[in-house]
Amino acid sequence: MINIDDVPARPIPAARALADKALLREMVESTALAPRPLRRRRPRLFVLSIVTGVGLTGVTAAAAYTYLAPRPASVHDSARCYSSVSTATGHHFPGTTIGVAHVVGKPTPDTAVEALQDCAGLWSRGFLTVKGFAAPDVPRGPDGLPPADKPVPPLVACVLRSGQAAVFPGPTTVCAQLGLPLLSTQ
Amino acid sequence: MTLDETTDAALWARATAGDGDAFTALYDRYGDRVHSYCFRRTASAAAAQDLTSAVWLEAWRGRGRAELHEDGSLAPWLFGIARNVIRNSERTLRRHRAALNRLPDPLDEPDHADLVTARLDDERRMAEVLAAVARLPKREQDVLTLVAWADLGQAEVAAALGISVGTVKSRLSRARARLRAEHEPGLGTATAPTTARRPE
Repeated sequence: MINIDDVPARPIPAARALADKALLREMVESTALAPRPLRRRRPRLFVLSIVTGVGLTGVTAAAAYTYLAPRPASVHDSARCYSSVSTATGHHFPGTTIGVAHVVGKPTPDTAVEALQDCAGLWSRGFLTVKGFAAPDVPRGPDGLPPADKPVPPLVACVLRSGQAAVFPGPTTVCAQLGLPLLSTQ
Repeated sequence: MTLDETTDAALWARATAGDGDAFTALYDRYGDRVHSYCFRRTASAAAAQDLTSAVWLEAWRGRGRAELHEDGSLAPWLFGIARNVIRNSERTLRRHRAALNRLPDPLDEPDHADLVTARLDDERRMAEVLAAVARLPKREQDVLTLVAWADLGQAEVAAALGISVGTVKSRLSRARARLRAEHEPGLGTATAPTTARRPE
C-alpha cells in the first residue's frame, strides 16, 4: 500500500549546507555589484553623429532634444543606484542594482518609479557612499537595517539606454551630461 | 530582532541590496524543506543536494521576478522554482555546473553504516512512492507533491503554479482518487476524499 503522506524527510547534510551558504553569500555580495547583462543597445548616438553636417545641424538638434526629453523607464523590476556620476553601464559600475519583491494580491511595485526614494534610502543607511556600494559595518536596528542617519546628496534619476532607471548623485544636469534622458514617472 | 525573526520580505530586500547574511538566513529558513522536496521528487539523496543548490542559485538569478505570497512568505515562489528546477534538471544543472563543482560531492558523507543504510532505505521507500505518483498526469503530480511533500497550503500551491485555488483542489482530488483507485481498487474513484495537509 502506497501512502503518499508518509514519506521520509531528509534535512540537508550540515557540511553541504555550510558549503551552499558560503557559495551563496559570496554570490550575493559580489553580484549585487555586478547586475545582469543589459540588453543589446541600438547605436542611436553613433547614428546621429555620423549624419551630423552643416546643413543638418537643426535636424540633429531637434533629434537630440527628442532623445533627451524626459521619458519613463521601460524596465520596471529593477533600477540602478550609482554612487558617482559614471558612464559605466555594463556589469561593473559604481553602485548597485535594486529590485522590489512583488506581493501576490497587491499592486506590482514599479522599481523605476520608486528608484529615487529607494536609492536615497541606500545613501541614508550607508550602503551607498562616494566610495561605492558596501554593506555598512554598523549595528542594525530593530528592522534589521542600519540606521537612516547618513546625509543624502542631491539625486537625479535618468533612463539608461537599456530602459532601466538609474539614479546618480548630482544636479538634474547630470543626465544631459551623460547623454541620457531624465526619468519621467508620470 | 535577529535574522531568524525577520520577515521574508525584509530578508529579501536586504539580500537584493547585497547582504549575503540575509540570503543565507532565507536558506536556513527554507533549505531543509526545499531539500526534502527535491529528495522526495527524485528518490535520490545525491541528486537532491545538487538540485537544492540549484534552486537557490536560480532564485538569485531570478531575483528581479521574486514574488511574496499574500501572507508575506517567499515559500510559494521558492517551491515554484524548485518544481521548475526538477522538471528541467539537466539544463539547470548544466547552467550552474561551475558553481556546483565548488561544492562537496553529494555523497561525500561520513561513512557510518547506519547513515548509509538509512539513506538507502529512504531512497528505496521513496522510489516506490514515486513510481506510483509518476503514473499521474504531470499537472496532478505537481499539485499533489507540493501539498504532500512541500507542506504548502492550497493557496500557496496555486501561487507557486500560477493557477487558481479551485484548480488546485480539483487536481488534488483527482490525483488522490487515482492513487486510491490504483492501490485500493475496491474503493473506486468516486469516493476518494480531498484532503490537504494545511487548512486554508
